[in-house]
This record gives sequence, C-alpha cells and structure tokens, in this order.
Amino acid sequence: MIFNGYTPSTLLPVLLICAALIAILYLLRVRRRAVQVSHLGLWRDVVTTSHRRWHDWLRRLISFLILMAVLGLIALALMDPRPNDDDTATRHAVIIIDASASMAASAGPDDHCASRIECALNDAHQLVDHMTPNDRAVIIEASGIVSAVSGPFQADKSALHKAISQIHPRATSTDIQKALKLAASLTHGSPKPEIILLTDGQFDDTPALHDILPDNAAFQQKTYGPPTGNVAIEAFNVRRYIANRLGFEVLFKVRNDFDVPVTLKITLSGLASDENTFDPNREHPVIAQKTITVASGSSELRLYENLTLTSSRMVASIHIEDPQNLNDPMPLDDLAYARIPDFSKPRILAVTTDNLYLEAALLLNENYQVSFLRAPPSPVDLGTFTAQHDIVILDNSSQKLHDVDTRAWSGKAIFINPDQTWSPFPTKTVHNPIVERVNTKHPVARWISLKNLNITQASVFKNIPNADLVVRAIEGPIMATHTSDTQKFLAIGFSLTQSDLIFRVALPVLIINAVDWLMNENAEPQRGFPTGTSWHIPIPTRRTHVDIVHPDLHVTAGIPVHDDTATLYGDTAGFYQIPDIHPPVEFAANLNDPRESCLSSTPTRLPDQNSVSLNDAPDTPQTSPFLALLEKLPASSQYLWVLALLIALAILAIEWLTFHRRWTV
Amino acid sequence: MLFDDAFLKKIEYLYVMSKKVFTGKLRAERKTRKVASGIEFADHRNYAPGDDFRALDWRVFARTEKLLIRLFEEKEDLSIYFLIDGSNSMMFNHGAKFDYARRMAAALGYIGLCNQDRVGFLGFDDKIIDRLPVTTGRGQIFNIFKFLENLHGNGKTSFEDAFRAFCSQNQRRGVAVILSDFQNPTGYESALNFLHYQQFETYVIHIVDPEECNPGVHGDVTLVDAETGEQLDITMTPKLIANYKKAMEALCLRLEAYCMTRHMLYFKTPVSTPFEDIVLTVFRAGGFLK
Repeated sequence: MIFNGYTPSTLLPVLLICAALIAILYLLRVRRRAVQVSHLGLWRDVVTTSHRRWHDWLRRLISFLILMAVLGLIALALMDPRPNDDDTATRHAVIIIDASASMAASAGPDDHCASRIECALNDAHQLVDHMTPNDRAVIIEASGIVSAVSGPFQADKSALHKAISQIHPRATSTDIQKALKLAASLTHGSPKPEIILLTDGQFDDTPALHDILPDNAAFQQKTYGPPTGNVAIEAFNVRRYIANRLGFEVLFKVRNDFDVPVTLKITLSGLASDENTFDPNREHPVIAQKTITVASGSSELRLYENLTLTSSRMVASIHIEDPQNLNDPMPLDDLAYARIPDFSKPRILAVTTDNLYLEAALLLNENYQVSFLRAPPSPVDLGTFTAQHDIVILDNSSQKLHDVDTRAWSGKAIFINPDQTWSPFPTKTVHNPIVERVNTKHPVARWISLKNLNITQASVFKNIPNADLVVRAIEGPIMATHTSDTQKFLAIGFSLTQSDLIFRVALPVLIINAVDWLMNENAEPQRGFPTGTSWHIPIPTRRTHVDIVHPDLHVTAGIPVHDDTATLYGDTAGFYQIPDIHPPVEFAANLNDPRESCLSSTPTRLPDQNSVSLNDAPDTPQTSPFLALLEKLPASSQYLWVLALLIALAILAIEWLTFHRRWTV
Repeated sequence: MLFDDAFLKKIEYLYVMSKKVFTGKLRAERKTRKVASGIEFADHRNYAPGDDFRALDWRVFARTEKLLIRLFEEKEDLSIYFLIDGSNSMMFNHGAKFDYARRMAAALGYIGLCNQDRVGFLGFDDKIIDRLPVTTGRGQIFNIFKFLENLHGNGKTSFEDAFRAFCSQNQRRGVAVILSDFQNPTGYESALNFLHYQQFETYVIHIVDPEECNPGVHGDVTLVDAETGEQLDITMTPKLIANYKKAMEALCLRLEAYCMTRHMLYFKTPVSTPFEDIVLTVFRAGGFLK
C-alpha cells in the first residue's frame, strides 16, 4: 500500500482540530436540557419504559465512536491509498486546440461563450482542472503550424493553464494532420494515451485516425459552432496612378455566404505609421466609404478609382448594413490591409544646354523636383552631383560636354549621347542606325514604341556584359541600363535632337519610365502576403540577417537572408516591417483562405476512437455535453476527497440532528 | 399592558354582540327567575308532589282537568364570581394561560356589570391570593382591571382549599366561573363537587396552552414541574410525545365528562383562540346571563 495523497504529518493537525470539534459537538448533543412543564404528572403517566442508564451510556459511546470512525476514514481517503501494483496511475492526455481563423467566429447559442476559441479554451481549462496529481498533459496549438505550447508532458496545472491562456486564433487554416501526428508521437509508448481535439471542424482533411494514432489511444473530438453564413473580404489591393502619384485606385472583392443578399458598407481607412493593425477603438482617417450589395453565395469585385491618399497604409473593413438582424460571425476576414510604396518627388539635376525637348519632358511632370545646370563647370563632377541629387541627367545633345569626371561616382544617372571620354560603355559612332530590337519587357521601354526611330548619328555601345539591353540597332546597342551596388544608370547612345524622338509622345513617357526605374517605382500594386504560408521577402540591400517587426509589434530577430530574400512564416494579418535596412521594407499580410471564411459547410468530424462514452455513434455530430469528455479524462480523484468530506459532513449533520429522535441511533 | 384600548374596544363589542345574540331568545336583562310566588305571572308548569296547593291554577284545572302550577317572576340580584387560577402551572410559557384567564374574566365581568349583575373576582392557588368583593355598576370596571392587573400567583394548585375558603367568604350563591388549566396534582373533582353542593352554578373554563398539548422538544431532556420543582429525566421520542398527547386529550375529556354529569358548563379554550370568540361561545351556551 502506498499513499499518494497528504502525508500523516500534514493531516495530523487537521485531524486533531476536527476531533476536538466533533467532541465538542458530541458533548453539546448529549447534554440534557431542562424543560419546564406545567405539570409533571401527565408525563409520569406516559413514561412506561424504564430507563437503563448503561444502555444510554453505550448508545452515546457508539455514536461517538461512529463519528471518530468517519473522521478516520476521511483521513485515510485524504492520504489516497493505492495498492503497490497500481500501474494505471499515470495517464497522458493531449489536448489539441484548433487556433485557426475560423475559431475566432462566434459560437453557437448553446455554447455560452462569445467565440469558438473561447469555448475551446474554457473546456481545456476544465480538462486541466480535472487532472489528478498523477496525470500528465500537453497542450497543442493547431493552426497553420502546430506546436506543443506547454512543452513536454507535465502535471503542473498552472503551466498548462498559462499555455492555454496564451492561445489565440491565428489568421491561418488548421493543419490537422500535423497536429494528430504530433499528438501520436508525443503519446508513443504511453500506457493510456488520451487525445482530445477541440475544434470547429472547419478543415478539409479527414485523416485516417487508425493510421496516425496508436491503437491504445483514446480519441475524442468536441466541435463548436453550428454552420452559419459569413461575409469576407476576398481580395484587396491598391496602386498609384502613373501620372498622378497622389491618386490611387483600389481593387476590392467581397464574398457573401449567407443565404440572403447582403448590403455591405465598405470603409477604407488610413493607418498611422505606429499602427500595424486596425484598432476599432481608435479613430482612423476615413478615405472612402462605399456600399455594395452582394447576392447570396456569390462574390463581387469592385474597382474604386481616383481616391486621394492620406496614408501609405490602408485598411478595408466591411460591415453588414442590411439585413440589420444579420450578424457577421467572423471578424478576422472583415479586415484587409494593403500598402502603397512611399512616394517622394525625386530631385533631378539636368546638365543640359538648349535642349528644350528634354526640359519640357521633365517640367511636364509635376511629381519631379527638377533643376537645370545650363552652364556646367569644367570638369563636371558627377560624384558631387549624384551625392546632392537623386538623379543626374548628363545631356550631351545640343552642346557638347567635353569634360566630365566619372572616376568616382555612385548614384543614379541618365547618360544621353555620352562622349567617348566619359561614356559608361565603350562606344563607336555610327550613322543612320536602324533599330533592330526593343526590349519591351524592360521597364524603361514600357508603353512606348521605338521601333521606327530615325536617328542621324549614334554611339553604339560595343561591350555591355553587365548591362540590360533596351534598344538595339543593327550596328549594336544604342540604349542600355546597368545596375550595380553603387551605380544605376541608363545610357542613351544618341542625341535627342538628332533623332525624331523629340517629336514623339514617347519621349516624356521614356523619361517617366527612366525615372521610375531609377527610383524603383512602378504603378503595380505592392505585393502582399497571405497568412499561414512562408513568405519570401525581397531585401533591397545586401544583408545577412534582418529583424522583422510583426503586426503585434513583437520582433523576430536574426532572420537569415539568402539571395537577397528573407523567409518568414506569418500567421497574423497586418503590416510587417523591416526597419533597420535602407530603404525600410514594409508589406501587408492578409487572411486569404476561403476555407476558413466559409463557415456554412458542415463541420468535419473525426470518428472517436476507444471512446468509452461516445463510441457508439462515431459519425453523428456530437451533441452530448462536455461531461462526456470529462468522463473519459482522468478520474477526478483529486476532488473525491472533497466529495467524501461533504458526504461525511452530511452524514454527521443528519446523525446529529436526528440523534434525539431515535431515527439513526 | 394587559387591558389596553384594544381590549376595551373588544369587550364593548362583546357587550353589543351579547345584546344582539340574545334578542328574542332571552330577555336583555334577566334579573328574575320563575318561582311559584311573586307578583307578575310568567308561566305554568306541571304539578309535582310537594308543591304548594295555593299555587295551583284551578281555572285551568276546571277547563282541562290538568294540574298546573302558576309561576311568577321574582326579581333577584345575580352574583357572578370569577375564580382565577393563579398557580405556577398557569405561568407556563411566560404566563400565557394566566393572562388569557384574566382577560377573559375581565370581559365576562364587564358584560355582567353592564347587565347590572353583581360581579366578584378571586385569585387562588392553594389558597386565596386576593379577592375583589362583589360589586355592581359599569363604573367598577376599572377597579376590576386594576385588581386583575395586580393579581399575581406563585404557588401550587389546590382547588379544594381555595374553594372552601371562597364559599365561607361568600354566603350569597350565584354563578361561579372557574378559569384554570386544571393541572392539579391533588385533583379537581372534590373541589367542583363542593361548589356544586354549595349550590353555586358552576362554569368551568379550561384554558390550555398549545405548547403543552404539543411539546416541541426532542431528545434527552430533564422535565421540571412548574409547581413542585420536581424533575424527571426523559428521552423525548415521537412515540412518547404521541402518548402524552393522548393523555392530555384524555384529561380534557375526563374533565368535560365530569362537568356534564354534574350539569356544569364546560368550555375548553386554547390560548391561541381569541378570547372574544370563547366569550361569545359562553353566551351562546346560554344561562350565563339571566
């Protein structure tokens, strides 16, 4: 016999106090009370039995001994005696909590909690509460990634409760396969493994449990939340206009899974630079509000144009306006984030003389901050100019620049008809070159046609091994770009005034394209990332490691960079930042999982295995209360002693109250 | 306060009710009784051997050949004595029975005074504690209240001793109303017989306390006699309590039977019953007011 409960030294003071209390109560009980009667004669007449004092004494003694025996039995129960060969003492329970996005949806009306994850966490807390000191448990959070958040099997309830409390719904789907495999590996070799899955059943996989779980493992699933409709943002992005850099247009797609048409109010708001997620309790500048009606079971795509930007961070939110009694159960897919690249007017220095065509093309664009140097010094120090300006244009078209110092420069530049002495590429002069090929995929050549360009004289670049070709003539390349760590430039091998480009609308577009390319700007929406996947984030500067700030402002430090790409798994919607590089990188991530947003489908239910109480109906949705789960969990012997104590006290109370009535003694 | 304004209102109400109850049935103030001599003819009754021949109604005999005695009304004063038990047994349960007895005596006395009867009060245990000589007139009611309020008993009950003393002090016969719980260790039979033989018309009002009829104690207790101080260790069991209730009921039935055989009016009243109800019951029983 071994004792797993309280030690005798711990129990002894309590026992003595209880014994003294019982003795006092006993003495109070057997004490005779004096009762006055008006006449004793009647009582004498009715008392027929003779009182045997030894009988009374014995009766009272037996009563006292019964009390003491009850107390001793309670003490024995508190010491939790067990036979020496008890091998069933330790049981291992794995509690898998689904933390996918759909678990943030509201729970059913009978669940008595606000959201499905709250129900699951409450039940997990209850399960932990009902563990005996010999039981071990582990908490698994199952979202896009699966992890044992409580560490290995342990009996420390406070640690388990803490691990449960830290679980919150992620903007990802559930990898149920991985979760079950992890549970199986954790319980491998355990004599009595018990696996409990707390989920809403919104996953497509139906794993074969007998292939994954050990044969002796008991498995049971509890499902939260009934099938319900939902509205969700399926797509959201924003891009700038080419001509008007301060204007933008928004692409928006929303889906309605309710069985009735829904009128939604769409709010586009800007977020401040210190906000990585949308906080509904804070005021945000509203950029636009739109109303859209979406038919039942369909999606609506909208393009909202000519909006004025107030922030580079934008969030879209939807709210059901009609029918008013319809509640949107899932909040996570009602928000979407998008980011617009920062825009600032590039400072352009044009070293040119009497080239009105170039000057006009530059001045036409209000988004440029242009300055001209019409009387250049000699020599022209390119390094100094690029240090002071974003882009330097060296135009050798109308009046020749004979003396340009290009020995040490870094930055961005456009060379127009460069002289052989300062041309970035070796050149050879040709006459009337014929354009043979235009690289239309190059950003500099987008939206323009240079095929029929007539050029009087050009400098053909002879050797451009590290450059990207833009325009090639039969004689050789006449327009090329080059990018290195320190230099980025466009070289145009002919004079603008000696070609008919100056008469074409392609010239200002070519200038815009060149500036955009040099400034890394484009009109495409910035790429966002879907949550629940691994992201390959381009890093613009050479770094071996970067630190990434998540939407909840926690920092993942030291993420390695390979091939100018950092890899990160993200499970939270919002804005992510890499602030310690230049230029800083910022991008948006959104929940983009139609399966998580589709709450109208019937929850997937895995069949119970080795279940004691629910095994008879493996394919029917579970409707029994959670007590059925508790039956399977480790027996609550921890509370048996409380129960035993209460029963003993009740017996004592009944015995005490009825003693004089001769009902019990 | 034993006799407060509410009590005065009640007994005034009782007086009015007594008038209504007996209208048409009895005369409002019955101060005469039918005898064979007198002034005012009242009734006939059959002749019985020993009757005075002078009272025979010969005219009726001539017509019907029946011998009838002529009865006449004779005015007299009726004396009503209230004998209130003031022993320790009446002090059970904070003197509930004693208070009840005093209130009832006061109410009946007031109605008697209103009917121009002579009313006297006597408190007794094993002796006469105090007495208020017979008096008449409504104005005496406050003296009665004062007497009853100052009446306190503290002793054993002995009806016979007390009644003997009462009879010796009151030669004028009349109605004797005994208000007691009849918890008497020496018995009540001889005492009631004595009153009967002394030609007192006796009314027995048996006052009981529900707590003594239905004791609410359980377990091992020591019973203490309120009068003698004797003690009895006893274990209260449901069976014992049931037997006690039977014995108590038998006591009441025995007393009632005894009274009936001796033409005494018997009323049993628990102290929980409003005293005005039992007063009206006494009126309805008839004979209290003549």
